[in-house]
Amino acid sequence: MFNRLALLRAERNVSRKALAEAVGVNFQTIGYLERGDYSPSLELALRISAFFQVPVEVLFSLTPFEPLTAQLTRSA
Amino acid sequence: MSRSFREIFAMSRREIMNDPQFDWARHLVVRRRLVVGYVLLTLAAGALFGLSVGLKNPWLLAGFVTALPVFVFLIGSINASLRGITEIRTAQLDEWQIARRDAMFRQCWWPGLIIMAISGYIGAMTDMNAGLKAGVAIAAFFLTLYLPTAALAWTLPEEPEA
Repeated sequence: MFNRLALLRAERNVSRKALAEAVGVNFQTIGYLERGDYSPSLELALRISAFFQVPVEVLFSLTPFEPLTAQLTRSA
Repeated sequence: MSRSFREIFAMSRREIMNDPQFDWARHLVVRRRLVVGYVLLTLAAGALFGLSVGLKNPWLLAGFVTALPVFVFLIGSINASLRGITEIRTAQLDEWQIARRDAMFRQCWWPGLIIMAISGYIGAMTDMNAGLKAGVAIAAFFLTLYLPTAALAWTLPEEPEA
């Protein structure tokens, strides 16, 4: 499973620890999610997307996300 | 950061296991050194016990007794290095920790059984000295008992930063 967790976290300036406390996990779990070492449960995925107030498919995908630079180049 | 015994006893197991004072043990290299230390000490303790009984040598038994506090230090350090994944209650773990713990217990089932079977074979089928048999049984028991925790400490990747 692919995710944009690191991207959103950087954009909102949220530390792993702050996100972890908000969604009720340990900060290492957030780190392993970002690395792609672990696929979250549906409940955790929904809790994280609720925290960022975005639909879950914006954060998680079964296929790789298009690079941000490609999206920006296309929209320019 | 040092704490008094009163402060430590007031903390929950989860707080103790996540305490920053154990950060030194959480690096992969340190975790692996602790595991190697545990395995070597377990084998040495088994041999010391076996030889002390077999040779009726009190000095070897004193060596075995001396090794026990080192066991406490190593086991505590390895548990803290894993933030208590295999030690604290399931309700206090998150889903990644539960998944890793359960996977490691599943993976260590057969290796643990094989270690105990070898120990049982040595105990039942060989004409080794009874003391040495007891030493082998002690070493095998403690290796098997702690195998999932040691294997987790050996295999878990480096922790991400907070």
